[in-house]
Amino acid sequence: VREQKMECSSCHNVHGSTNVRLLRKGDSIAELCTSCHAEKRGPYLWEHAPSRDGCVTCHDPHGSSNERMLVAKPPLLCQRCHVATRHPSTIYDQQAIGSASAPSVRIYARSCVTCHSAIHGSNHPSGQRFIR
Amino acid sequence: MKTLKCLFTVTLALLLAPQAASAQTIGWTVPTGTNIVDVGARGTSISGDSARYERYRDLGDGLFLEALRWDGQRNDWLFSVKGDHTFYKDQRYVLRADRPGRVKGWFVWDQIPMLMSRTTQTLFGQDFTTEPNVFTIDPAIRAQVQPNASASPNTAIVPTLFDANAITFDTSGRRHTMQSGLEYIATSDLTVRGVYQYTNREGVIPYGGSYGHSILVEFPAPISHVTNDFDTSAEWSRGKLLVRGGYTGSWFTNDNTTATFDNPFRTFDQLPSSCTPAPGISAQCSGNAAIGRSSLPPSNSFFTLNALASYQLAPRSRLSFYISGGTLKDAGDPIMSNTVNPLNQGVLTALDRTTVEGEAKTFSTNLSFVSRPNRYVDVSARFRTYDYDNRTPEFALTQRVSYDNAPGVASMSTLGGVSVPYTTDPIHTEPFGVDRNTLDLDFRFTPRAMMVAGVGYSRLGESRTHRLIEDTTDHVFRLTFDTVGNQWFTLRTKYEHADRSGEATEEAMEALFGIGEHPGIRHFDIAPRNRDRITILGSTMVRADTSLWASVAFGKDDFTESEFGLRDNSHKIFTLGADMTPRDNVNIGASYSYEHYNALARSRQANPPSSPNLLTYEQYLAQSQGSSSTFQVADATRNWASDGTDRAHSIILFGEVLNIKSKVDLHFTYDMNRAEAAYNYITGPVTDRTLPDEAPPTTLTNCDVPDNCKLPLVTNDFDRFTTDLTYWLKPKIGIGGSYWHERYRVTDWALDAEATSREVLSQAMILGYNYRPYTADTFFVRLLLKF
Repeated sequence: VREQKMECSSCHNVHGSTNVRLLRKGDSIAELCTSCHAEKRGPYLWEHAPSRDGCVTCHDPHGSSNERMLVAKPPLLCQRCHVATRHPSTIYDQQAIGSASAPSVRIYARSCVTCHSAIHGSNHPSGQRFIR
Repeated sequence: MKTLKCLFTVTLALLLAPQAASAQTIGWTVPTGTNIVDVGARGTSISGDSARYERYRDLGDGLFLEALRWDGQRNDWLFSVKGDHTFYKDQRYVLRADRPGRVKGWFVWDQIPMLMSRTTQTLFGQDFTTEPNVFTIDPAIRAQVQPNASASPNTAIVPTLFDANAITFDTSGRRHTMQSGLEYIATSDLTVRGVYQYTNREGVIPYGGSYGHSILVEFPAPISHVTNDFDTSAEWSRGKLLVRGGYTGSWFTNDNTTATFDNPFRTFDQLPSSCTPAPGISAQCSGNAAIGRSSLPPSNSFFTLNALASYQLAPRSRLSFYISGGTLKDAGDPIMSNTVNPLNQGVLTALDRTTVEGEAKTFSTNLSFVSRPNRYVDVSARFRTYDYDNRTPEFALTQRVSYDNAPGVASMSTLGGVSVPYTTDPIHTEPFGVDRNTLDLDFRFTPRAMMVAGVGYSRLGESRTHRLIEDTTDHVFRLTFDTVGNQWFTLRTKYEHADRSGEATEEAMEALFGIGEHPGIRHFDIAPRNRDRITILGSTMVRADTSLWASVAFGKDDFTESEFGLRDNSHKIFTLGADMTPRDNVNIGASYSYEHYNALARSRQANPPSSPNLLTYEQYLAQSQGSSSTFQVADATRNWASDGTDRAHSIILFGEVLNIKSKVDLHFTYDMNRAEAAYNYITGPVTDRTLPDEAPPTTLTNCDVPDNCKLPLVTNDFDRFTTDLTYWLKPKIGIGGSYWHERYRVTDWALDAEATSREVLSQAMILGYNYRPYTADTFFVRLLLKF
């Protein structure tokens, strides 16, 4: 990439590997990712299952236009799975961002993750919704 | 959609690597195989977001020792020294010693800075270096928000206090990595290898804490990690047999596993008198906290033992078997109490246990057989298993303290509006596990030289715990046709169809209803779906000095049973490029690519029912496809969909002219990227893209005004131009100059400067990390010395 700190061979071994997709470390995609991002390894008290199942559910390691290489922009990414009542199923349209005095805190800045910060998992006993 | 993109990107990258390599290079490239020193001076003129210009690099002004290369030989030994960006925050050094056929050793020191913002601000004013995980606000400032416990907080004054007292700080971090390794060929049959890697991360990142809906606080969460990794293996081979055994160990230590932060909008805790301050909770309390505490990533360790055996069969066939077993554990740190709020301490009940006891066992096998019995046929078969067995005991939650505000009965609200307390339906953690097995079969036929046709089948079976769909099976069929090995023409084509199935049981859907989710949701990573995709990559040498290449990829995922959630996902990618080498010392090229992604996700905007109008699961099922004036959750006319489209255009130009009059080398590159993302909301059914919907379309929120029922375009424009000129005064002495120009423009309804211009709103205090444009020009003068 631009800074020349990472290259294809940082993650892939074109000569073959025992992992999927010619990944050079670990035995799963998550094991490869957490070999560098060990803080996401857990195991946590409260697990966010998709992040354990495979980081690429939410992140595109080859790059995207979204913050943190997310595959879609929050809150729309989160709303692909969360259709509960109240704010998870609310349409955040022009009006949600258009009010100069009080735009919705659920859409600006880091959106859902601003409150649900521990989105990869939480060891807080009340961390069920990854807010703590 | 991104999964599709990943595969395509890797394939494309491999095919286009020679062409892309030149364009990816920034500035002058250090010649390989040459002992050289690159020294000089650098200066940058920048307007706008300087942090984003640097991001993962250090472009500080002043003298530099940009590169050092030295390769030497002494007796049987080969030595190599590489240094980059010496004395800067992104410096890297690589030392190698190699006695071919006997021993190889290396040492790497690599620093990667991460500069996110130079303009972030906060009211938290303590010295972050002494107490990096305790975020406090000056009591004098807090007193102005709420002078005493009986006074109501004056949140309206917080913006004024912020303007007067906020400190500005860098949101930044850095990763330092040291790796050393040794590979020793003990005998002609035996090779042992050991690698040790030390990684240290320090810095801060934006992290959020909430005190309830719309009371939002961001603080610079500390990063202070150390990871020690060992990777050792021994490989023995003789004749047709190869055997390898290995051990990997990884220990991750986080110095800060909690963060405590003041509430800028409240100075004193509040616990209503209606909540008895005595052990045990009999009712939901309400309250407000002046201080909160969040968990941060836990320390952990992970080690595996693995073995591989591979045997060469005749003719041209090989059978291999790999097995690996591992243990992942947390560090055994105690579980923090349910809240740090002092007023709540007297009413906290004991936790289910005192430590996480996090542990998972991994077990993986890989049996593969590849054979090319004759020049016409080659086959491969692989069966792979992976089991992540999460043995962390379930943790029973009987009392929950939301946002540190007030203890309450741990309960779940159903979609029907009923709150179910733990006494009748205990809440437990869900230690997620997954067991995968994958069968890959591929048959390729080479009817004539340079032409290969293939057919393949894969079956991916997955069993999970604690997911809506616990068992899924993905059948993948693929056809390929390639012409390779022809210097004039190369074609690679692939068609793939995949069909994933899995059933959400009635019990699982009722459980979803019980936690407040619609039973019709299907999480897209496990949902039943059909996938079709085609990739065509081709290149041709139209002349001896000119090659053209192009690629096309398109595909679509259809989530066939998803009433709610991601419904479909498609992509189209086109690339065209050309390379020319009109003279031996001239190389020029150009490429253009267009990427288009689209996704539709479906939801239903609703508030839950409230007493006495509650809804049972059965009633929901009976009503949810029609309109309802009583129950929003069962009102299908409240359905909506988000239709998201990403488009990106990219142009790359590059050229180099070397050895002009035996004196001058010239390089240039130009990248232009234009990306935009559009998000539109659609109410009611979407023809051909949603499940049959009996309810007529309706309007929600502002969708009666079409322009409101969408979000503004998100745009990212990026241009980069670099040029380098080197004049060789003598064969070993050169002088040169480089010029880099970068321009970045962004509009983003969530993260641009306008969207985040009010760091302090009436009930939110964020750091102000955002996306801002910049224009930067960097000039280099350099002296090159070969030796």
